[in-house]
Amino acid sequence: MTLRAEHCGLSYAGKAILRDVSLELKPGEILAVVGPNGAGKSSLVGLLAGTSQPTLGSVTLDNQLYTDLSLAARATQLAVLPQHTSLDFPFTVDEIVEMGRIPHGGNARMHAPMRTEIAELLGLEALRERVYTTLSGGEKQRTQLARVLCQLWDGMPGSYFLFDEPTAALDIAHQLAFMSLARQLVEKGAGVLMVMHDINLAARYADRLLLLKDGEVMGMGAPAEVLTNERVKAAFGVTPEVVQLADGSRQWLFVE
Amino acid sequence: MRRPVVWILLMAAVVVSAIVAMFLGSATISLAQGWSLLNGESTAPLVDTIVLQIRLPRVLLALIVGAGTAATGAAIQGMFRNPLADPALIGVSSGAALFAAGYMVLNLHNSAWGFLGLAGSAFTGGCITTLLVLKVGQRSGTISSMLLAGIAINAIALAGVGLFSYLSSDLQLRSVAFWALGSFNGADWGSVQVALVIPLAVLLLYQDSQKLNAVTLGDLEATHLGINVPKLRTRIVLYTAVITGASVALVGIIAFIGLVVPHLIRLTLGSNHHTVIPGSALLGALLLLMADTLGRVIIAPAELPVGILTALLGGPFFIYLVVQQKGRLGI
Repeated sequence: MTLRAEHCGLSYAGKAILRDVSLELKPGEILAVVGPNGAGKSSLVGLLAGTSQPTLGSVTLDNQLYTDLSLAARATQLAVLPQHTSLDFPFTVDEIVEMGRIPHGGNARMHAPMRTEIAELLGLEALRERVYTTLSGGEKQRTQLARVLCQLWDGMPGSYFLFDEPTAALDIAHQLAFMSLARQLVEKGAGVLMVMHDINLAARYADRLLLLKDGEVMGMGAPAEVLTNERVKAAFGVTPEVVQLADGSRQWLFVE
Repeated sequence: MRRPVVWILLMAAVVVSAIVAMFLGSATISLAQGWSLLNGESTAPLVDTIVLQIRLPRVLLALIVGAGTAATGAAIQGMFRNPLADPALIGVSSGAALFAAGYMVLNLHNSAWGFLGLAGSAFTGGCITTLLVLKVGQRSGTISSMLLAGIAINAIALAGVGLFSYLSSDLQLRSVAFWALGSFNGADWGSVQVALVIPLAVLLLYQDSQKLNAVTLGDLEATHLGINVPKLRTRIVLYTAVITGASVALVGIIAFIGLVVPHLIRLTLGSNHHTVIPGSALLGALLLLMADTLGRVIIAPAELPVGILTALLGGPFFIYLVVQQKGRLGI
């Protein structure tokens, strides 16, 4: 059981966006994708989600090509949070979370306990009847996260979550809460891939890191192994200072 | 107000205004005459004719067209992900009118195809314009460019209608002018029969409610929820063209009902299309019937085409919407 990309290339209008990217996402692990702006992180998510086709190589979900898998079947095994969702209609938070159940059919009453549980985990209890268009950026993001979680909540083993910058709009407390929630997902047997900008958050919670630069994989593996000073300098153009914390974990500080 | 109350009020209002509309008009009908008609007794022959052959089909047609126009407005807004989309606003109605006018002026109206051909060409015009606006909207990807494309297509189609009026004979001119205004003047039982295709298309729209909900999040999001968005879009375009084509062929362009009604329903009953589509159908039926009845009595014995009234009432409301939603629509 694996979500696998093999030697994938992606070009758009003659320009290579991804080059020879290979990765495996297995149930039970968090893989964080980091890299500078324009490195191709979101394109990689689109490729793995099946919304764009690789120009070279192949993407398979449990050894099946997306072209052999119906959209409906895919949606019961793979949930995706795009980087930005804009919505101009006054749905309530609860209605949006309920949309996550569309691939499974059934009615709103059936899924009510599930929605309550997820709302509590994301701190949305008080907002459930609020109208989405009146929410703050962070509240909107947590609503979309709740919808994506709802999609696979009762079928975690062998399913996959792809989150594109899930913590971008969240405050520190909600960032940490989301990361430990992601940890719970993998403990229940899901595979999680997330695009992150916060190197420290990624290094602390992810099992593996993938460092992407100019559409190519610069390194993949345990966070401390990937984030060498040379690689970080080459990828971001910034030299980090590494600090050892009391609990033995590392923090990357960026000064200039 | 609680939701069940809103539903009951809406349904009651539709029934009451339908009954009231039968009594109002340039010929007055007494309560006693109306009562005996309801009981199936015959009254004065003229009253029978006015009520059963003129007013009843007209009331039914206004209800059906109002329901269809508002329901298709709700679906189009969901599909375009834009609360300001409307079949009349984005040029679907004028596209249908252009083809209908062409059909009339080229004298195909008197051919063996008759009215079905007229409805068919209005349907074709509606299909072509919806697809055009969709294509432009998809290519540039922004709401404002889609609306602007709609405005341009609207202008082109109306110029075409103008050209046909210029080419037409005096007799044809009256019929062509009728499309630009929108009127229930010609309603009879034949038109009610043709209009029955509209509730059918509304039912089909309703079946896609949940998918429309997902599409409001975005095409990508809907795809991730297992929905084949291009197929859904094709279906909605088809149903819209059927509803708009039939409506335009029967009564001409009715503006703003499809825009204003779904918005009012969302304000009171929420955005879920399971609610918005039937709710809009009820309120659209109610408002169009009221507008037509008003048009019949306001300058009786003459009558005001209903399209003029809906535009007069809907226009200011549209401006209010634009001002109220400033900044959020990216215009």
